[in-house]
Amino acid sequence: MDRFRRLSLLWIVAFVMLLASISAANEAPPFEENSLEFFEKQVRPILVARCFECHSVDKKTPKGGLRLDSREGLLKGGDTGPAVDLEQPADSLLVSSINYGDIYQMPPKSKLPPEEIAILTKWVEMGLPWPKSAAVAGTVKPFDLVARAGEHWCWQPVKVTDLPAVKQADWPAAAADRFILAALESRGLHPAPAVDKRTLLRRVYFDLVGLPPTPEEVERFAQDPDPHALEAIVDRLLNSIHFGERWGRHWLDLTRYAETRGHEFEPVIPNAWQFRDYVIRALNADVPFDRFLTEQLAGDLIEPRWRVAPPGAAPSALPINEALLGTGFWFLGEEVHSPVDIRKDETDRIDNRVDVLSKTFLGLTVGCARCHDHKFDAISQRDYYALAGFALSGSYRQVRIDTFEQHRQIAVQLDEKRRNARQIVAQELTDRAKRVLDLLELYFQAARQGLAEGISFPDAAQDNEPIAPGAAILQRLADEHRLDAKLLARWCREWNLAKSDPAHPLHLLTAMDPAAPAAGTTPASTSPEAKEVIPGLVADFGDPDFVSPMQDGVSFGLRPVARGDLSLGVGPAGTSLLSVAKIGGWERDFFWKSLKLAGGMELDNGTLGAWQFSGRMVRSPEFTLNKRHVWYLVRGSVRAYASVNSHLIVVGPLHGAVFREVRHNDDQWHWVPHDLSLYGGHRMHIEFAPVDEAPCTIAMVVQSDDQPKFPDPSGNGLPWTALAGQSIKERTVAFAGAIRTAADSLRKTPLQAAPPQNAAPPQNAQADVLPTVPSRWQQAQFAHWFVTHSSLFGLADFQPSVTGLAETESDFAKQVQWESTLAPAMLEGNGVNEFLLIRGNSNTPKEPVARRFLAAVESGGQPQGVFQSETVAGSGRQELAREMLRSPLVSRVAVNRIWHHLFGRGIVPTVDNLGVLGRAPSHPELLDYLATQFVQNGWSTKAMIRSLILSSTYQMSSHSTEADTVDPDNALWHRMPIKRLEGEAIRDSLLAVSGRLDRTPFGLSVPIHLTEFMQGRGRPGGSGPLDGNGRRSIYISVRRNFLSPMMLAFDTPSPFSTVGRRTVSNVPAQALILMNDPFVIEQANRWAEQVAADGPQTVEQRLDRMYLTAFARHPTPAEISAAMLFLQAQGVSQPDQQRAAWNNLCHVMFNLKEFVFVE
Amino acid sequence: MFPCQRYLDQPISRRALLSQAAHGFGAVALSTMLPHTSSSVMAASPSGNSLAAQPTHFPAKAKQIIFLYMDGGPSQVDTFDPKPMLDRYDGRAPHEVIGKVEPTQFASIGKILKSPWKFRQYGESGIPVSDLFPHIGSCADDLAVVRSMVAPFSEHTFANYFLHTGHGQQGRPSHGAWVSYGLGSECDDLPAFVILNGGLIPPGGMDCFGSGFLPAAYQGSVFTSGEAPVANIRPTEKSRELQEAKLALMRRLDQERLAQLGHVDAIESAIANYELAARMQTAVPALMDLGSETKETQDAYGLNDEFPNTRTYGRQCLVARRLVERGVRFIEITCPSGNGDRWDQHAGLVDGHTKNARSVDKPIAALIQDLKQRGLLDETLIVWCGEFGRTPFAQGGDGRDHNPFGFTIWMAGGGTKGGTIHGATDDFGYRSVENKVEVHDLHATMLHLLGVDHTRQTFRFGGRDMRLTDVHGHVVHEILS
Repeated sequence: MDRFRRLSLLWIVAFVMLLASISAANEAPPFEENSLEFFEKQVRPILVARCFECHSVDKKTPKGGLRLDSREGLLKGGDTGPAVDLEQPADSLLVSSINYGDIYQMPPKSKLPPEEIAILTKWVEMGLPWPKSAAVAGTVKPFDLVARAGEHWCWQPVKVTDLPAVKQADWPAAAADRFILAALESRGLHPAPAVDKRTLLRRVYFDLVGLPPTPEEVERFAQDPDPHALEAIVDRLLNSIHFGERWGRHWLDLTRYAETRGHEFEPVIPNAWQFRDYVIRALNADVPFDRFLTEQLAGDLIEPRWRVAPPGAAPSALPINEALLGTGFWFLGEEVHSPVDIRKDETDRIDNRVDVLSKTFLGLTVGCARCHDHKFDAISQRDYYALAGFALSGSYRQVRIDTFEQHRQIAVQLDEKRRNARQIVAQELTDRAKRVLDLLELYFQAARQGLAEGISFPDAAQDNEPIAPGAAILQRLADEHRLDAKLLARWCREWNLAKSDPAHPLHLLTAMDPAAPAAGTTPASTSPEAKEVIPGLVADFGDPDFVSPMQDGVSFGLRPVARGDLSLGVGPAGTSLLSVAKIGGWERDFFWKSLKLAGGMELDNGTLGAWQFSGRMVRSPEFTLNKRHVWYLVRGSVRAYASVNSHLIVVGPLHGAVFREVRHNDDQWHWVPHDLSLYGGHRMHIEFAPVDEAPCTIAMVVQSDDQPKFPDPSGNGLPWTALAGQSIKERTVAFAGAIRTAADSLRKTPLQAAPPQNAAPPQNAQADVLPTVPSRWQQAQFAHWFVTHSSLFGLADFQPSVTGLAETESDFAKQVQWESTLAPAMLEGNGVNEFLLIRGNSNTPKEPVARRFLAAVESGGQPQGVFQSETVAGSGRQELAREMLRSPLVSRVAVNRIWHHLFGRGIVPTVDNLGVLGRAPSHPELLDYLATQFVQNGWSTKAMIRSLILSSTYQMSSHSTEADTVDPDNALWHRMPIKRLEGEAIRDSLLAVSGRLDRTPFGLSVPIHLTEFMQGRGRPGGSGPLDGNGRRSIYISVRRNFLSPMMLAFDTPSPFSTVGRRTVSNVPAQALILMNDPFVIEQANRWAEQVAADGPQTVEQRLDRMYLTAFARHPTPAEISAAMLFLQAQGVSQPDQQRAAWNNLCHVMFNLKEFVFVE
Repeated sequence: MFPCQRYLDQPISRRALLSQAAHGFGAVALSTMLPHTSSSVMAASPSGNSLAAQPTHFPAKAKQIIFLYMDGGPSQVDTFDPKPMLDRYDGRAPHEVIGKVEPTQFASIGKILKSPWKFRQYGESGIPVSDLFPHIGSCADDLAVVRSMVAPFSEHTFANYFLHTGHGQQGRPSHGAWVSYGLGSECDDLPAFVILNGGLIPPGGMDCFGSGFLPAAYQGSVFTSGEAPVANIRPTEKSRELQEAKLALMRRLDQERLAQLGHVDAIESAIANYELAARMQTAVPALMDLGSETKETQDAYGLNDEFPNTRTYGRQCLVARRLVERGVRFIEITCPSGNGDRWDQHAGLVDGHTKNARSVDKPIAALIQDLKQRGLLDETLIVWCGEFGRTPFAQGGDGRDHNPFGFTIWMAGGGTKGGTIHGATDDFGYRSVENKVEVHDLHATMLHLLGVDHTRQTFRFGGRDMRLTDVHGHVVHEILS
């Protein structure tokens, strides 16, 4: 059922009805007394009993915006339009709803008894008789976006204020300190004293790299008299690889990073770790934040950023565009393996993307406007759907990240060589044919004469040797006209063929009486202006005007073969075989047939993964299916995947129909039907890839119930119609002219310029009409006749003088890196606008909403050239990024997050929500000051962090001060808060302290260690190592349904949405883990071994070193004596107990609160 | 015997109990911890005992919930919703008989399939129950059967997340998490939300039991049936004395440090947390030790049944009762594996449903009767529920596909009205047509019985005051006593 389309139609109808009914409502007729009695006695009681609970003035916000307590309410209707259509009462939504129709089933809990349905239906048919009464005043306050944007701080431009004056002028070390101090002084408070150096160092280490300092580092710093010692350490840590690991994990919290898609069977998000590594590298490289944002939104569309090898590492031979990796951001969410309602599922997935995008970068909850205008913020429902379109205007791919650029460059060079070769051949063809064309009239005349004199050819003759005595006649005629006898023989033969074949280009000449001019009428030939119409055409890749080169990789070359393109084939025995593309399309380039994947690459589940589209895929634009089948015009073998509503995982009982594989061993064109009748009314695009080593060309995509007509150019490309009444001589001239045109056209092709590095925005999406002049088909047909009949033009021995092409290709092939590594990324598509969905329901679409950024930013006083999606053919993601960056939101959100991580709480504590329901900034001027600095310093995250760490505020002690009584929540930062370490930092510390830490960065994740408590579908086949091979926690795999129990216990967020501020909870599981988990015990024992291995030391020396290692400080005498007592009680003096005693002491140290809390 | 069980004499006020349970600093913590205030965004503060018992919105009928999750979706027309019309039209094409048929998960719609089981009426109420459940049938007068449930999803995982969290996708808090967030715990040596894992973790995995955006304190704790039913519950030290010595050293060194730092809520709470963990180490093994139960009790629960899955489920039901006695707020029991594919009989309906029913029938009946005998049923709400039902027509020849448009659940105890039937499906048991009950309504009713107004129990996340029932839900008053 074509539900989607039908609903859209319904919308148009509803709108018309609305207009009609508004006028009708104004002139409510006076009703008969008995109608009114019917209403009061029969109808009103039903309305009161069944409907008013939700649809009356008593309800502050009537459900669906519909009120049924007045006639006007019914006629005005709710979100889905008028409840009653007075013109066509039977079709009214009210009547449909009470009959439990498709859109609503009302009342929701139970269907009305039949007699009540009958009464209401009759009432509607009567024209809704209702007594006159004072109109019930509307109570719902209208949504006023401009007013809201004007009232709330976050929409206002970032304000630059003077640094506040302070009394304690020697305290501030950084500008930020002035704001903090001024606020403290205004309350009569003093900042806490500076923290001692060892504690400071531990704080700095955990904040910057998430690891404790070594005892040596602690002591060196503690004893370094240089006042700039801290600066040097901060710089060193900012340049450490571990900085990106620490801050990368913060970023992954925002992007709901996981490596599986969760849901029922936990399919992997193949190679998601590439995104994790991208984030780490980007942070380490201090990629400007504006660029970082743009890469994640639109890294496939912008200037590349080439990966730089880390210092000391060998530079990679292949240029790798980091920006592409950023777009993995879009694909880190949950996916569903077999949704029955695939469209609803899509809206849920897109909702997650909008939600994550808006919270992460804007600190706004745009997701709240999915079903209605935002309840509190200046965000309309239209804003939500305007953003949703961006997520729909592109598709998922596994990009060959390391070879992408190399392959592109080689493809460009290859293309150039081949184009040159073709041009040379075309030029030679033209040049050599010229001699014959100049004499064409003579050849025709001689041929006609010769045939008249009885020249004939044996059927099987290959060499056009005429049957005797034809040879003699030929020779005579050739001599007479000074023609080449061999060529003349060929023309005789062709002339003969043409006579009996009406489709032959020469037919009209052979049929004419040479003496007389042609009659007024000549057989039909299509006029060049006529447009060939293919109903339901989605894509015609061979049409040079149909620009939609959406491709992943260059397996099909840089562009489709256009109709009329000359092709240099290889014939028998290495001879060249010329042909001209009559249909064209994406044609597999066999140069790339050896593409492989590097080892260890993860693949998508099921068919999608098995087919390995990566780097070998071309796709159609998005279109809405309104027929049962989609047909592909193909040659060779093809795999087609219908990406319906961008659904990805197609393992499960449903949706196997989206795959279609077909193999042909012939060289013919085939219309291949793909039965997608399950998906009538759904939006989709088709992705194609070749099969094994087989040839593969895809020319067209057409949606149609029946097989489309084969694109058959009638006529033969010659403008005979225009020559009606002309003599044979004139026609001969015209024929020669046509040959010249055809030869010229061969030199011009391919007509399209090479697309830029990233696919050019496609046009003509969803075109229903083949947008080409049919003469192009005919010209191609005629040009093909020309190149395949070159012997008529003296080119029998024509061997294109293009040597070396094969050698060039094989040279290129040697340069190619055939194996690739993959990463999830976005592939730009055509622009798709999402429908406004009433109440967020995918079954009730209203009109599409053009893609654009939030309207409130404009009205918040930031004038800007607002991007209109109509002006771009592609997604517009790049423009979206640009507008986001112009808003006052991004810089504030970014610096607030940095502040949050360093100072334990954001200046706006609700770091993901700057909206009305978020908390107001405690120091608004400071926030704006930092935001301004951030932008002025080139959006440098490291510069911001550095300046904050070097501030006096950061270097305060966290011990209680008397200011606690005035500022008990430390809202003013009169001291540094104590922070509990995150799960990752706790685990990393255990490894660092025990000496087990493996500092190797990057790469495939270490499989999660499975305990017996981690059960359920999709459980990984094997458990990872207990200690994760000693790798930092960020490198342990994140499987949505099998998250690390230790991380969960210590509040690592479940990856489903943006979490900028982790909860810090206190649960017994935390204590149980540190007390009894085998991993913790193992690390304790290892540490004890390490302590023992450090050589003969006194117990005091050992204890001292242990305290330095774990807590970056020396123990107090009381601590030493307590520990020594314990060791003695555990029999440390007995050799066989010694080891266990130290093990146990180390274990106790891990369980001290100081281990997980940082001052 | 149980340090926090309900039968303690109650000379101390609830408030005092809380303070005591929270080891002295609870009072301070509580003032900032009341989760129902709009400042609950700060509830994530590291200080305080998140599980301290909380006041209810109004007097509660039930104190605890046992959620008997029937994984996979039992067939309503084969259990509690007899449909003679199916016998009459057996073998006919469903669209001829029922009319419009919705898309199904497997898109393989067979013929109308009558129930292979006979129904009989039980008790004074005469509630019909199929022969799959003779024991549960004998408790009919305690059941409030809801025959008009609907779910918004046809797929297990969506439907599971929805049934457990009120939302079809991952990441929301489980109903058990909401309950422990709202009510805290009355037990200080066990978690407030316990899942007794019989072998089948529902599709959707642990996220069915997660705390979502609520603090980790409210996560469900999965108890397995093994020797160490809770993760890391068994001390690794050779002797109890050794662990005691270690804990003593730890306390001493922590106090030493705390003295240097001054008063720090978060650290004090973390210290107290160790005390709770240490108590759990003894409480959990004691809980799981069923040796103290009488032979009669063990038999009644099916602990000696010849069918192994009855033994498994029986043990869980018995542990559930013991958890109820200890004041654990929310107990969910998952089904044993090995009965065919859960209740999910796409094929082999008779075999699969027979095994699944046999596993749970006797233990559930014993649980109801046992709780009743001990006077606990009135305060304990039992919910028997799958994520959806099954089609009245066949999938293939002898299976049934998922059907979210109308299915049956039942409740017992905890303030529900025994011996009632609420709502109805159409003549074929396909669509709910009378007094439709949604999952949000079920949640609203569960919370209501616990004394919680589902519209007022909120947590601020992502710019919204989130609720278990989203913006929906009506309490089903008709089934309340």
